[in-house]
This record gives sequence, structure tokens and C-alpha cells, in this order.
Amino acid sequence: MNMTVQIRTAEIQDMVENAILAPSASIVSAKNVNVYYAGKQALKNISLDVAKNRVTSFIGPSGCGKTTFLKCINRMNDLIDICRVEGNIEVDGQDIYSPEVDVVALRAHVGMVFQKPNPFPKSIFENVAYGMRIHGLTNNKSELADRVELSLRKAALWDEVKDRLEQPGTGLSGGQQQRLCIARAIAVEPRIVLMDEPASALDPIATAKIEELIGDLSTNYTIIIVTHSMQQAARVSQFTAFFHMGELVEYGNTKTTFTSPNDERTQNYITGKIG
Amino acid sequence: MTNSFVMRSSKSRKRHAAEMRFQWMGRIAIIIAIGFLVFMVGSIAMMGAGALKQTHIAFDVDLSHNEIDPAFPEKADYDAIIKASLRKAFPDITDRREKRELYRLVSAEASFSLKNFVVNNPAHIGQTHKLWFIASDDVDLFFKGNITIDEKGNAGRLNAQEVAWVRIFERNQNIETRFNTRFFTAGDSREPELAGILSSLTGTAFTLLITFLIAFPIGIFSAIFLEEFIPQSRWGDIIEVNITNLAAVPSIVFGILGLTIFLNTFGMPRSSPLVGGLVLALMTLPTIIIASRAALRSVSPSIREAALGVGATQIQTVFHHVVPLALPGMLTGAIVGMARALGETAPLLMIGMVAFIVDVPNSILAPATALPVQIFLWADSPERAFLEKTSAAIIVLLVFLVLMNLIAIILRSKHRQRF
Ligand SMILES: Nc1ncnc2c1ncn2[C@@H]1O[C@H](COP(=O)(O)OP(=O)(O)OP(=O)(O)O)[C@@H](O)[C@H]1O
Ligand SMILES: [Mg+2]
Repeated sequence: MNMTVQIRTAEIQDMVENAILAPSASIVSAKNVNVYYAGKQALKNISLDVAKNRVTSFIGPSGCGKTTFLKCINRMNDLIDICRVEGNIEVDGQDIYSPEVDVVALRAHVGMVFQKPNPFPKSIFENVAYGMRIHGLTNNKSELADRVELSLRKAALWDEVKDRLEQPGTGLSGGQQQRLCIARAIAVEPRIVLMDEPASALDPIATAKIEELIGDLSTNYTIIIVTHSMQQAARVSQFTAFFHMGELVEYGNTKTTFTSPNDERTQNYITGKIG
Repeated sequence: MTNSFVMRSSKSRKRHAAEMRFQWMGRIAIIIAIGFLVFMVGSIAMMGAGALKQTHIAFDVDLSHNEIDPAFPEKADYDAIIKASLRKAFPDITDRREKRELYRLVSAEASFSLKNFVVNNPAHIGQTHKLWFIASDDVDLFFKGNITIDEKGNAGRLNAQEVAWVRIFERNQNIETRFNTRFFTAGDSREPELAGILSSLTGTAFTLLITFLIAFPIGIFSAIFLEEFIPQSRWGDIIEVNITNLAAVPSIVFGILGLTIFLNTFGMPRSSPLVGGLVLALMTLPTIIIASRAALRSVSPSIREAALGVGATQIQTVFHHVVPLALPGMLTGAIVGMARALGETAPLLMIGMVAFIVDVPNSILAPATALPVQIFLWADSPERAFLEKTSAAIIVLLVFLVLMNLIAIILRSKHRQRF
């Protein structure tokens, strides 16, 4: 009796997992992407589809091009004069490098949390409210305040800042600033959230909260997260891409990647031999 | 115990000595610089301080009915009354030449101030009053001790006789120095004791107002456009090189430009603060643009990334985030440029703002001069008494410079306090 129940649970778990991993519609689709910084190639022929409403993690040694690829997806690379992007990237079926694309709208729907926390030198409240304001998401003052609170709660920052919302965001600690940037990014309700090492400066409790947030968000949002922590990648993501020296070495569902990688370099990296 | 690694080794001692040497060199350099500054400001202040005091002399003035018709007090010959009163004070003077020398003790302005006194106090007509008048520049210099008596008994342009008269006034306590309000409330004059800075100061204020209103917005918007909207384009590079060159063009060239364009082509009024302001605006523009671009460039790129990352447009990013952070730097640049414009003489000479202006200009189209030009004019005057006026005007100019820099500092610190 007990036995069968347990087997049943395991079966259900497998079924759920398979459902999650079943080929869902892809929302980001990159084909043969090459990126050069002043002639120096940073990404080599990357082709990858990111599943909709799932969490995908990018791992790989420092300098392998994770940030570079992330910034291709919301065209943040446009800001770097020496950066040149080749190939084709589609978001929601639209080639984002085609001339008729509105980059501002793209970035409003593809939010980003940067590797280095970069709060505005404005108040904590204004940091979160700014995006909603410029997009006209709400005109109502109390609604705005509610949404700021909600975003800060989701980013696990509310309790620490609720009494000093008018103080500058730059006065927070590094980890608090990073969570403020997360709150700022999710406040405008982007469809895709790009997170570049969002937990690198956080303590275990805040990290757990952010991971919880990522789990919650992934029901409605697509999340791509860059991380240097294998455990984190294993915990939060359904898919993992391993980059190495500008190449996409391995890409597949997280469990397989970590348990039985196809490539030797992936094996070496996750066991700590390169990195 | 003896050789602990926290003790000084010979190597670290050497390093320490080098550090101390460097610190001392820095201190000495600063002391020398401050010494020069104190010497310069001190000597100007010592020379100019005298101009804040003006010698006045008093004598009895007979406001008899014979001379002044109470019905028309303004029609009387006050010059004659002054002269008669002076003769009365020194009854033993009969020689014509000596009389003329006696009259020279008082400023030519005495008759005007007497007229004002009588017109405002008609009740005094028919009485005799002891009244104070501004002394002439020569008496002023001598009484304040700026010139000493030479072996012939002369003091500057005063001869021995005149020195003796001044002594008589002194003995009777009819001569004293008072605070020179006239220096701040009067326009220029051929007579040093009457000359003031108000007309040139007003001219400077009007001119700088025009300069600021034109150069500041144009400069800032050019900088924003060049830096944020066409960075790294070929046109941007060409413009950048030209602006840098323009900042180094001697100011008199801008004066010639103003002369040919604003005066000859557009026919704007000569000597007017409007044209002066336009010329100085042209001169100040490159400075403001260069400083503003530097200020914009110093804003961290991560702020731009953050704003663009939440979906702000380029314009929103620039005006909501970058410009507020760059504004203190821009203002500093503008104030530095304005301070340079404040002290500028050469271009103003070219457009005729070098005229002898007695009246305070009442509009940006009225003929005017500027404070530095006034200093130049006074420094050029033969009368010795203009020397201290020149120094005093320089002090006023320096005070305004310091004030402008103070404003820049306050603006900057205010801005910093906010975040
Ligand atoms: N702005 C830039 N200019 C020139 N080269 C750059 C620039 N940004 C990145 N690169 C180069 O591109 C390569 C990939 O950099 P990227 O920042 O994408 O690495 P990463 O995987 O994010 O590394 P990390 O884990 O350290 O953040 C590196 O060799 C780097 O030197
Ligand atoms: Mg990176």
C-alpha cells in the first residue's frame, strides 16, 4: 500500500518533469550569431532556442561570452561602439536586428538585471517607479506605490527598505542594490528577464528568496540567468547552456547536462577542472 | 623582538623618505602660490582701499536773498555763491591767480550739491550755513597722505600756498574723510573725485546677462547633441576639432567678428551691451560646450544602461538621468566661461564699448561700457587720483569673480547633497 503510493508519487514527479521539459514554444531563437569587439571575436556561431516560460541558465568560465550573448537579446550591445553583431536573433518570432524594430519597445519587454548593480542615483522608490512611469503603466499614485511595494517584496527587499523609500538607492549595500535592480526590472512586467549573475553579491537567505522569485516568475515569464554556481543552475533552471571561449559547447535540459554531459569540456567544467 | 616584520626596514625607510620629500615639495609649491596670490591681492587692496574714502571740506556758505530768489531757487548762480563763500573764508586773498587756486580746493561738483541742498531746503534761504563739499582730487590725495611734500613745499599739484590752506582747514576741523558712496553710485567722470563705477558695472551686468542667456542654453544643447546623439560620427569629430580650436582663438578676433557682423552687417547699435553680450557669448560658447561635454562624458555608462534597460528612450535617458548628473559640471563650465567674459576687454574695445559713459545705461541698447574697460580707461588717465580708483575697480571686479565662483561651489554642493 505504502509502496504503491510512493511509486505513484515518483511517477507523477517524472510526468510533471517531462511536461516541463517537453519541447515548448521557443521565445528567443538565435541562429549563427557571431559577435566581434573591434575585430576580436567574442561569440562564435551560436545557435540556440530559449523555451518560453522556462528558466534557462548560461554557465561557463569567466570571459566565455555569457554577458555578451545576453546583451544581444535586448540589443544592449548597441551601446558599445566597437561591438558588431552578425547572424539572426528572433524574439517572439521577430528578427530584432531588422531595421523596423523599435529597440525601446524591445527593451521594455526584455528586461535586464546587470552584472554590476547600477541603481539610479535617485530614491529607492523612484528607482522602481521610474520604468512604470515612463511606460505609463499607471497614473494613479496609490496604485504606483502598491506596485512598487509588490516589486520590492518579490525582490526580497521590502522589509529592509520600507522605512526609507525616499533615501537614495545608491546608499544601499551591494546585495541590496542588486535586489533593487531586480525589483526595477520586474516592475515593468517584461516578458523575458535577463539576469546576469543576480545573486553573486547576495547572502544565502537573499539568494534563496531570489531563486524563489525566479521560480514564481517562470510561470508567466521567460528567464535567462547567468550564474557561476552549478548548484544554483541545477536548482532554478530547466535548461542549461554551457559556453566556452565564445562557443556554445552544450545545451540541453539541466539534469542531463549536469549528470551526463556529452562534451568533455562540460564535464571538466562542472567537476571543477576548468574555470 | 628586535626584528619584527612590522618594524621599519632600510627599504621601507627609503620609501618613507621619498614620500616625505614629495609631500614637502607639494607644500612648498602651495606656499609659494599662496604667497604670490596674497602679495598681488594685498598690494591691489592697499592701493585701492583709499578710494573707499573721500575727503570733504566745510566752510560757511551765505545763502543770501540777493543771490537766491526764493521763488526760483534753481535759477541762482551757485558757482558764484561757492566762490564768494570761499573768498569770505580767506579774506586776505586778493590776487586773481591765488583766488583761482583757492577755488580749486573744492570739486567742481560743489555747486550742484549746493543747488540740491537749497532746492530741497528752501527754508534756509537767507541764512548762513556751514556746509560740507567734496574736496578736489589733489586735496584728497594730499589729505589722505598719498603724496608727501617735496623740498619746494609742493604736494603733487598743490603748491605751498594751497598746502597751507589745507592746513588751516585741518586746524579748524573743517576737513575730514568720509566713506565714498559716490564711487558706487556715480558714473564715470573727468574729475577723479567724482568718478564712480555704477555705469560700467551696470554695463557689465547687462552684457553678462545677454552672454549667459545666449551662451548657456546654446552651449548646453550643443554639448548634449554632440555627445549623446552623434557620438563618434565623422561630423562629430570635425565639429569637435573646430570647437577646440575656437576656444583658443584670441578674444580680439571675436571683437572683429562682432564689428563686421553685428555692427556693419546687421546695423546693431554701437557700444551697446547687446552687441557686447553677443560677442562675449560667441567667445564663451566653446568653453561651455567643452566643459559640458566633459561633464556628460563623466556620467557612468552604467546609468545609461540602466535607463535604456528599463525601456527608456534615448531622450528620456539623457534628460532624466544623464543631464541631471552632469548639470553641476555644466554649470561650473558656464560660470568659468562667464568669469572669463567678465574680465574681457579687447573684444569690447572693438565694438566701441570704450566710450566715456557718465549716465547709467538703462537698457541693453543704450551706450555702455564694462568694468574691465573702465579699469583700462582709468589706468590710462594722467591724473594720479585715478590710480586708486583703478585699484578699487579691480577689487570690485575680483569680488565679483569670487562671488561667481562661490555660486558655482554652492550650486555644486547643493546638488551633491541631494544624492
Ligand atoms: N566592451 C567590450 N570591449 C571589448 N571586449 C569586450 C567587451 N565586453 C566583453 N569583451 C570581451 O568579450 C569576451 C566575452 O566577455 P563577456 O563579458 O561576455 O564574458 P562573460 O562570460 O560574461 O564573463 P564573466 O563571467 O566574467 O562575466 C571577453 O573576452 C571580453 O574580453
Ligand atoms: Mg559577464
